[in-house]
Amino acid sequence: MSEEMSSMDRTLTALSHKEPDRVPAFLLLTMHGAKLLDMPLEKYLTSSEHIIKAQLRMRELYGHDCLYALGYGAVEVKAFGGEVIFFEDGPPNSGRPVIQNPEEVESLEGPDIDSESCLLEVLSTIKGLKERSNGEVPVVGVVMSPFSLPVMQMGFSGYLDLMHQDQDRFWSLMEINQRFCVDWANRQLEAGATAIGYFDPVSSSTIITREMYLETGSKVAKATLSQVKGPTVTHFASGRCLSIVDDVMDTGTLGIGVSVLEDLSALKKKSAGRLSLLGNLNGIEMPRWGRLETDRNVMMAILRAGRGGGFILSDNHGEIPYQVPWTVVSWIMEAVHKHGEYPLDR
Amino acid sequence: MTEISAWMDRLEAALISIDEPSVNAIIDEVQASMTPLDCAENVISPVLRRIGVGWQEGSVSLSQVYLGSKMCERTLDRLLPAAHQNRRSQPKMAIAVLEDYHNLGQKIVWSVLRAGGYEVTNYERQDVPSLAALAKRDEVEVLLVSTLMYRSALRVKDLRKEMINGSISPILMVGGAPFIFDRELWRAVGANEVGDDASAALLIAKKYSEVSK
Repeated sequence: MSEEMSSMDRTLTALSHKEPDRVPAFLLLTMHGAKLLDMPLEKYLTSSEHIIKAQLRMRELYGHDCLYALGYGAVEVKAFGGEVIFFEDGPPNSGRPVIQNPEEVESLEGPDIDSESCLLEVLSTIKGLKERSNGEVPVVGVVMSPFSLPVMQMGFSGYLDLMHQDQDRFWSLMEINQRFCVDWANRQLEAGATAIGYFDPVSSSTIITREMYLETGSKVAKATLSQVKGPTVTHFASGRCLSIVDDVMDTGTLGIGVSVLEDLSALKKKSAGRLSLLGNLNGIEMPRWGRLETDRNVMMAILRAGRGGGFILSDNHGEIPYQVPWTVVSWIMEAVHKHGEYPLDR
Repeated sequence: MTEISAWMDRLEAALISIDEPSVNAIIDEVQASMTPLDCAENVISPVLRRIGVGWQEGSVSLSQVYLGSKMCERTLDRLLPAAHQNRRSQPKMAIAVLEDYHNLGQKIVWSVLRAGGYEVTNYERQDVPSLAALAKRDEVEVLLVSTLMYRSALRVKDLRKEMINGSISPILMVGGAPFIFDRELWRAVGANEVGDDASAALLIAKKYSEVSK
C-alpha cells in the first residue's frame, strides 16, 4: 500500500490533473463551527479566533482536505460601508444596498483593507490557519469577483439594469471593484492562503448569456486574475457554466466550482486535463440525506469526474448549509474513503 | 392561429434580444386585432412561459427573463392601466419575499403576472408574523412567496403555521432557488404549489382564476 499523502500533496496532485492517493474532499463548512463551539453565528463568524479553532477541530474530526477561511461573503460589502444582517440559522445577508442609485457609483471608493477590522479579521484567520497546519493542508481564501459583488452593493435588479443600460457607470464600478479585489486576493495570499476562490455567480449562464459574459464578466475576470499572485478557482455558486467552460479557461483560472444542475460527466469531458472541477454535491438536499443516499451521491460524483485527477469533491455552492447534520458530513467522508481511492477502476 | 404563432415567435425573439422598441411595435400590432387582455392571455403569457421554460432548461439567462418581463409589464401597463376594470377577474393574490434581502425573483414574478393581466398586491420583504397578518387583513386567496436562502425557504413552514393560527389558509405558492435544488422541499414546508421559474406563476394564477369563477 502506498503511503498516504498529505492533504496539500493530494490537492496539488489533483489540480495538476494527476491521480493522487484518493479524491480530495473539501468540506466547505462556514457555519458549522458555531454549532461545534456552541455559540451564536454572529459571534462565531466575526471572530478569527473562533473560526481557526473550529476549522482545525472539524478537520481533525472529519479528515477532509482543506481549511476554509471564509466567514461570510457579505464581509466585502461591509468593508464598502454596506449593512450586514446576521441570522441565527443561515449565512448573513447584505442589507440596504450601499449604492442606492447609479449616480453614486461616481463617488464610490474602495475600502482600505488596513482600516477595516472585518477584513483584518479574515487575514488573521488565514494567518492562524496557515501557522497551525504546518503547510500540510490547503488554506482556501475567498474573494467576490468585481463582476458579482455589485449584487450586494446595489441589489440584483439595480445591477442588471446598470449592466444593460449604463455602460459607463458599469465599467467605472468594475474598475473600483477590480482594484479592491486584486488587493484583497493578494493580501490573503500574503497572509498564507494557498489558493483563492473567485466567486462569480453572475458570470454563470444561469444569470447572463454567453455573449454578455464575453463582453463583461470574462473581461473583468481576465484583467483581475492576471494580477492575482497565486492560484485561483472560479466558483459559480450553483450557477451553470457548461456552455462557457472554454471561455472560463481563458481567464487564467485553475478550476471551476460546478453545479448539480449540470451533467458532471459532460463538464469533465469538456474540461479534462485543462481545468479542474470542484463540486457538485447538492447542499440543499443534504439535510435530508440518509447514509445510503449520501454514499450514492458521493460515489456518482467521483465516478463521473474523478478519473485522471482534476477533481475535488465538494458541495456545489461553496458553502454547506447550517442545517446539514454532522452525520451527513461524516457519511460524506466515509463515502470518499470508500469510493475515492485511486485507481478508481480497481 | 398561424398569425398568433408568428406574433409569439417575433415577440420571443425581441424579448430575448432585449429590444424594447420591437416589443412595443409587435404588441401594438397584436393590439389592432384583439383586446389588451386577450393579448396578455394569448400572446404575452405564453411567450413569457416559453422564456421561463428556456431558463429552466438553461437556454435563457435570468437577465433576459428579468428584462423581458419588465418590458412586457411596462407595455401592458400602457395598454391596460393598473386596476382597470378590464383587468382579469381573479382571486385576491399577493406576493412577498420572505425574510431575504435579495428580491429579484419576487420582482420578476410580479412583472410576469402583471404582464399577464393579473393584479397582484406586492408586500415586498416581510417576516413570518407580518406576512401572515397582511394576508389575513387583505383576505388573500393566493399567496406567492419567493425565497433565495435555504433558511428562508424553511420559514415557509412557520408561515403556514402562523396562518393556520390566524384561521386563514390561502393557496400558498413558493418559488426560488432552494425549491429548485430540492424537489421535495415545497411539500415539506406545507406549500400547495411550487414554481420552477417565474412564469409558472401564470399557470397557477390561471388555474385558481378558473376555480374562483
